[in-house]
Amino acid sequence: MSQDNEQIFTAWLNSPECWKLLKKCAHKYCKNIADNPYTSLDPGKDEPDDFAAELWRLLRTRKGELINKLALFLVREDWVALQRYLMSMASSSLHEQNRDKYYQRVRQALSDAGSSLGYQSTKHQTSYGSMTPEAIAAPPYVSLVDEGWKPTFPAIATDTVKKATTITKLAKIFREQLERHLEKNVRVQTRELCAYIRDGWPAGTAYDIKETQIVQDDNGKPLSESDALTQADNSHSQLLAYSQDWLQDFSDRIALYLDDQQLLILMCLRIYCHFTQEKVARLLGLSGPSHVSYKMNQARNIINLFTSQEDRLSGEDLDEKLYDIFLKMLLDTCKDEDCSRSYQEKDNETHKELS
Amino acid sequence: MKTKAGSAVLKKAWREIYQERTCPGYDILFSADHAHQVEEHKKRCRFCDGKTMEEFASWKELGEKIQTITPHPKQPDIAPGQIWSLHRSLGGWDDMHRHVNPPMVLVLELLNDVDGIRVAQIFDAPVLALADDVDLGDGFGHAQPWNTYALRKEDVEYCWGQVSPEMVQHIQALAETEEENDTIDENNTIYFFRQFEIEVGATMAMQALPTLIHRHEYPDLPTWVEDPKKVRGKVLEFKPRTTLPETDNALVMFGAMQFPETMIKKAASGAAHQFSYNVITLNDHTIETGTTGLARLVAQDIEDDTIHVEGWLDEKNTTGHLLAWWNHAGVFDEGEVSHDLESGYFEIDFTDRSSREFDEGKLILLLIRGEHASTD
Repeated sequence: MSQDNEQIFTAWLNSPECWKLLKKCAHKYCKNIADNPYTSLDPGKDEPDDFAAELWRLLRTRKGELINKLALFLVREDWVALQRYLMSMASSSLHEQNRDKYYQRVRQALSDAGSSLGYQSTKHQTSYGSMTPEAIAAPPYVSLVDEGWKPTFPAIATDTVKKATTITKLAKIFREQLERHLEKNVRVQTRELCAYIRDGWPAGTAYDIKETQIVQDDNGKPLSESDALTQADNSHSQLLAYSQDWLQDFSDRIALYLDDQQLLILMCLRIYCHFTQEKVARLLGLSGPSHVSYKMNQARNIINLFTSQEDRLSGEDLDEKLYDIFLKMLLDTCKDEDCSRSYQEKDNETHKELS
Repeated sequence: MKTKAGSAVLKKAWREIYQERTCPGYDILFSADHAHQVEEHKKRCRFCDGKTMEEFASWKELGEKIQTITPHPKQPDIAPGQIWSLHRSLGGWDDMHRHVNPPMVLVLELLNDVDGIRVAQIFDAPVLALADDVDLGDGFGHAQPWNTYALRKEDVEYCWGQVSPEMVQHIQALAETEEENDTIDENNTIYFFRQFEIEVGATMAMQALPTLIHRHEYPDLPTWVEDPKKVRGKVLEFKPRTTLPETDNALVMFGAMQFPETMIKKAASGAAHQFSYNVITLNDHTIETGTTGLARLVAQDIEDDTIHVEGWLDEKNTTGHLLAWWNHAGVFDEGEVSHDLESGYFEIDFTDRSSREFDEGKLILLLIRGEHASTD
């Protein structure tokens, strides 16, 4: 890439035309998502303009990395892959930001301060502090406090903790305290600085967002995250109401895959009609029961291939009720007249056979 | 082996990899030539369903802007440690209406005897990486020591980077310990991801395998023999009035082609067991000599669904690779040949044949040899 092209590109990035184009890209993408709500079980909550801003930030700050990643798509002029890749990055990045806005703010302030604070960014973490080879990584803030270390907190108004000047000032103060305590030069991870600030000030309130909500049980004891999730999932009807259309679309598509290989009718005969493997083999012209069994495995593999990609339909977060409904929908797509057993029966058989 | 990522994050990454591997790219998605397959794909794939060319107009514009600062890919001599993309021709539609897109690979070693390479497949989704995946750094993603296979050198397209020899050694060492995949729970998202990655790797490897076997078995034959179109052209260049069979198998073409009448050796009258066959000598660029020989058949019968043929090649033509096919209704089935280079004695078995195939079919013999063993 020539120096000229690089400069022209940078100038373009800072132009109103660039912003206009990025907005157009993001709006088109979001419109497609809105028109096709089946692309994901979790509807996107991000606004198109947020996506556009994130795309711009990615292009500005991670240009080199992006070029490496995108080079093959660009050479092949695969704009579909380009969109998929960039929007995935932007979406993950926005998700991260939405998760902890204050952390993002601190990172941005440190990044802007750059070399004056010794800021460094790697793929997995950001840090600041001493750049000397003998500098050590500061231990986690929580562990130091657990060991009895008592940091000091200067008198700073809560509403100023989001300001870059305050954050850099606190970064210096925190580092000095650590170096005094550890008697060594240190590098401090951004998340440890955040932990220190959060300990001294309710940093989240500066962004008008709630600090981590503590969900309590009936006796007032805090629930673990997984317990809290389970409690949230208890409003099952709400969940199903939301996902019913999505599930129907999902099962219809898998039914097509199964139908391509004559597996849907096979499953239907085995599970709905309760035919023996031998009878199914005779009806479908298969060589025998073992062939039916082999085909049933094929069907399971196809179903698993797709459910393994979806939240609540597989793995650790499997929601059995949701899965049962999905299976019922899937087998209902087979319109064989013989399948006249009651749904209750179908449910039981389905569960036994496929779970 | 465990991953730190949560279930939702893993599944999102797995979904994205699946799309990257199985959804058609821009040129295929909107190509009239692929319209039918794309329609079937869209019926099944919710990610591609509803995509319109109009949606991508602005993305095309953005891509073209980024292209201006994208370096042109290189095509250096292949060496271990290099990261390559594979030719798109290795991909294509499968029987599930998915468009399999060839992955990036890391070259682990050169297989010089067959003009091949052994590679480890690469994926770019850090959250799906486990301890036995190797981070290649510089944004190249992770190599899969549990998913290595052989390809032809000509299967790679562009080189995107290079890793250290130590890293290659480390990956090779991991590749030799095969047990790790078994320790992943079958309900784990990564289990499904890995099963699928192996399937993609097998799709790539299966396309290279026949050529690699061919090169291994016939190292003295030039590589142009692997291309039926080239063979057809060179035969007609050698003897324009030669009759060529309809086949994509170049060796079958050599065996079943019929030279002009004047060139064919005829069996002597009364010599019922004499059998005419093609004798071909190739060099790096063309057919050096092409003639017919007369073999003497001493047995040709069928027993236990196996057609058995025995005989002697004529004295002038005993050396080279002897190949045999049973041609029934235009289908050429290759037989298992044992051939004594000194005496010219041979035995051939065609298994799983019916009496009807025996009665109606015909033996094809070919003696082929190469003058040199180098690439075209």
